[in-house]
Amino acid sequence: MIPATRDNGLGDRGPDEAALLRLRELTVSLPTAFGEIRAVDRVSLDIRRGSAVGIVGESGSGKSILLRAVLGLLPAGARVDGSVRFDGRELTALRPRQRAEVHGRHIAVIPQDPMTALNPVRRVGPQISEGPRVHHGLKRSAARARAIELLGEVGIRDASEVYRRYPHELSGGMRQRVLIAMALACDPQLILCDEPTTALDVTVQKKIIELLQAVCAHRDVALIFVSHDLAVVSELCDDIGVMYAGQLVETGRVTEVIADPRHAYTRALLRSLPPVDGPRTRPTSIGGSPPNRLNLPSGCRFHPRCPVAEPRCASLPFDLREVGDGRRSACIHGEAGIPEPAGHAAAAGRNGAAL
Amino acid sequence: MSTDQDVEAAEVPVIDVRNVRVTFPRRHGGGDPGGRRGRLVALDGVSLSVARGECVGVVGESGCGKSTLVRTIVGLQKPDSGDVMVDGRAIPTISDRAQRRRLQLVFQDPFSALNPVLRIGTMLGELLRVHRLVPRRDIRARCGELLESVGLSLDYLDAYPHALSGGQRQRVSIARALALQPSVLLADEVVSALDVSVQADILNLLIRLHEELGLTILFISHNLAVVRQLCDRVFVMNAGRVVESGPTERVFAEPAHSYTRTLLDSIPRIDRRW
Repeated sequence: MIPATRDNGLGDRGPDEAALLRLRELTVSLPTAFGEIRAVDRVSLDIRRGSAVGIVGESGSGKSILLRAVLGLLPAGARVDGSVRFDGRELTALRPRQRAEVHGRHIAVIPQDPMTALNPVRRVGPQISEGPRVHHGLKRSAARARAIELLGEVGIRDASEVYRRYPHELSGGMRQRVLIAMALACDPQLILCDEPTTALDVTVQKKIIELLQAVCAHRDVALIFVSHDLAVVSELCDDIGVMYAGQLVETGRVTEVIADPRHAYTRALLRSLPPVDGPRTRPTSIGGSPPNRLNLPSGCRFHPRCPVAEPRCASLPFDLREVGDGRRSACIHGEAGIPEPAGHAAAAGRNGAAL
Repeated sequence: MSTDQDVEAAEVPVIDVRNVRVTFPRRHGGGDPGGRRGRLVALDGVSLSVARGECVGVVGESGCGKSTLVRTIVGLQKPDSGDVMVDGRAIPTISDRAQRRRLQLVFQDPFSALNPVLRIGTMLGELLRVHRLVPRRDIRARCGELLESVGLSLDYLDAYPHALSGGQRQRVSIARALALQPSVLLADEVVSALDVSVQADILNLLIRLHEELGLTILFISHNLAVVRQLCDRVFVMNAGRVVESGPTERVFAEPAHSYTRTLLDSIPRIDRRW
């Protein structure tokens, strides 16, 4: 992710060679029974070739809709404004058929739930080889060989045996490996992952993350990894974007954002993770719940839940700006770092109340 | 929680699982290691006890037998051999309503656990009525108390489940379990389907119920970090067996079994410098 500078929101600077995917002021409006909501609100983000970017946020923050907007797979009635530029081509301007051609060949998806993502009445092998047959024109036998090779690449022993299995004969981890093989089948440049490990056990999750790391490094594929779990993102991704109520509120390199969050929401999210090491602590909740999207708070959308909000937070306009060294934050404390809330000892704040 | 339980001797464990073995017939295929020919061994001599007022965790990955253990404890699965005692008595049968009440479950998926066509108040009220726990005229008030005890306002009495978030539904599921004043709350992966921030809310709720009401909790999870925040004691299961048990802090600090170490190493870590 290249720091998107402040005023290049027009998306008219021509193709940027370094950025594989460039989102500019991307806004997705969804109709609901009670009025239109902006599920994704003016998000600008660059994804470099071969880099892994994590998008983190709570349920309903718009992270999955953002992925679906890149794919053009939005619910009926959704309206997209802004620009989605992939490899120099403006995707939003393409007809569905042209767009499908780009997606099938160059952008792949790994869905969240490995239990429902495969067709239950077809053997898994042909489901993998379908992509290469359609997009690369491979003959049946060549596509089969390709699928078996891919199954081997994602760490499945007896690949030719698994090729003939039905999804219900495989465990959750195996199915997720099959889905990764399927995503790799057309040699994509970009893989979009929508919480691919949330439905898995920690042990399997670790293996899948290691696998994704290995295949992306080996093939130089870029990755967008959507998750609510900052810890998972920190293991896999180079860069991170934090979303809250449809807006991108902080971006930067994963290591820097985790070591020194520059948005109060990011820090609250980090503190809610259960620690594995160190003293045993009580869970630290963010408190409150995300805002009603039909009735958003003024100013910073996080301020009603924010422990370090100031009166001006309720009125200042949203401003995602550079806060130094390629980092962006929309928080008033972005430049100076997030202070501890008043009357809150630093030690207690760090670890919650000790048990 | 209720007075009739207080008279029981404190030494009798609320849940006492002794050397329980559960097997399932296996169909063709299925290469499960550790299985015997023809039968899949889901629980292989599992013993576990939970004292009154304790909060005990069971951890292990999918397929290790956690959920079979829960099903066996509540009497939905008959063990091949071994005993399960609840409050010092054999596990209640399906027809024994008063006994069955002693064990209440909260499930993993808050979206499928609630009846979508019943308002929350109706659902809670039905339980109280069927089990004759409060006089009819007090039912609605009691439902309100239950919701308040899990941190939801009275407005939710008239709400349908579809209007609730995952965390709110899980609170309702916990209120439903509490309605019957159980001896033990069996929580089967109750936070796994929730966002990390909502997980913290639900864990804090369980800790509060445990500390303030003395609720006994058996907490099943695959995530050791979560178990650590909640439970005093932990049992680690692998392939149908308890491979390690002890105080949570001890198991975390010096895991004795290699499988426990594998589990601990699998948890994604972040560098906590803030």
